[in-house]
Amino acid sequence: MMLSKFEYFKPESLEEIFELLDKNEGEYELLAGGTDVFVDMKHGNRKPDYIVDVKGIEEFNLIEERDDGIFIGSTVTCNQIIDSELMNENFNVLVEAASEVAAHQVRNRATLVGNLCTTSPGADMFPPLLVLGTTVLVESKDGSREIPLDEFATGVKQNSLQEKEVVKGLLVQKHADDSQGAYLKKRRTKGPDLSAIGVAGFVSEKEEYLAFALGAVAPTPILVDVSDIFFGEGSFEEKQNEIQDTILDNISPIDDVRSTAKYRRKMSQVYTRRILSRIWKAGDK
Amino acid sequence: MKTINLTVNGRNFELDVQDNEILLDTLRKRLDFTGAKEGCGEGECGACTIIMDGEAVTSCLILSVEADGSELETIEGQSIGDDISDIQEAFIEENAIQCGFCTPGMVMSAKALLDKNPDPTYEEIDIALSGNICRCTGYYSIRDAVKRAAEKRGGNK
Repeated sequence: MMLSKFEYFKPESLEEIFELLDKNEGEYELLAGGTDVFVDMKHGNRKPDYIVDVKGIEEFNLIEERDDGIFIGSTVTCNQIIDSELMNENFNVLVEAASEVAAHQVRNRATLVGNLCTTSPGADMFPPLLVLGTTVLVESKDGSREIPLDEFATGVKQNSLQEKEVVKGLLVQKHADDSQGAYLKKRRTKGPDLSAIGVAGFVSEKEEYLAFALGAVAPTPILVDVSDIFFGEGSFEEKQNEIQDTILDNISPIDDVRSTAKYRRKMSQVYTRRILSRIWKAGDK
Repeated sequence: MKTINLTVNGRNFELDVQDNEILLDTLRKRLDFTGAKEGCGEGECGACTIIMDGEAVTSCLILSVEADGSELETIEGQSIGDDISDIQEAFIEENAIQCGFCTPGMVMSAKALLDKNPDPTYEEIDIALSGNICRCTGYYSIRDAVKRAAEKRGGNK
């Protein structure tokens, strides 16, 4: 399958990227893993005049602990996350979700940030990063800006990035040492598939924080912070029911090729319960 | 048009490629490495799997220019004449081949796994081969073949 014609650039610095974006005319694509952009191009859905490969920028491939969180660069792949000690120690929910993206070979190319920038409603990387608390670090020739991840997706395959802005990476919040997370994904087959529903949950008693985030149940991934319910008054049963009702109030699933709306609503409840039983007091079990 | 350098199975190539040229096409049509196959062309089937700088990748979703400076391994590098690799031997011994279309990709995914993890569990084999679809042999003989290849290398989990 041929790709439409375009010119390819591989800059080695941010400044060089901005120069290229200023100098060249027409449609462009920023390239990281290419696992979405080339598929779209083969289908004729994107026809860029030029492509800017951001894999030449060293900082973009870092995973590192910083004072204000853990930085994950734009070209970090799913398999780099799965293999990273820092990620396994701190963000098991992210490791679990990265393991659910496509298949092994694709995970060697596909990037977290690329998954976010495609902004599919069912993108597996949104739910774990939403419950962890993530800021998208954006650069342009006018300077830097930060977008909280829960404000990043604006619609189906639409996000708040402006023309000629480049995502440098993500800053993910660090959490207390008692924190636990999990990601569950429902798909049509046992093998690689896009999600019919994906649910991430994350809890920390020390932080009095419990949140769920759900993919493929609304035009954009949905974050539901239920800390007030869970760490408030009432029995565990009552709280669990209230959490499920709150989640149902926040989602608006549709029927499509991967599932029915009714099944998605049901599974949002099943997965919420299942995740809660796995992560709450997980250390005591 | 860009000039790129590739190492394929230990041999160096310098060639001019179009910016929009796909690595799989360069390998098959320009360099005559026809072992990697085009199945879906979208990274779903794994028939085009090669090893690039130590990692199994779907060469249908990579530009040739992106591979500039890379070391590539394809199925052609796994044998010299009748002298075949331990993984290929294991595939034959376990009858893990029927039509053979998926086999080059399967073998390269298996090699990438065993090079990193000489003693994989069945679960680890399943993950490494999750992106390789077979429509006739069935997966049991294939995973057994990878297990047997690991045992040939001294692994015994």
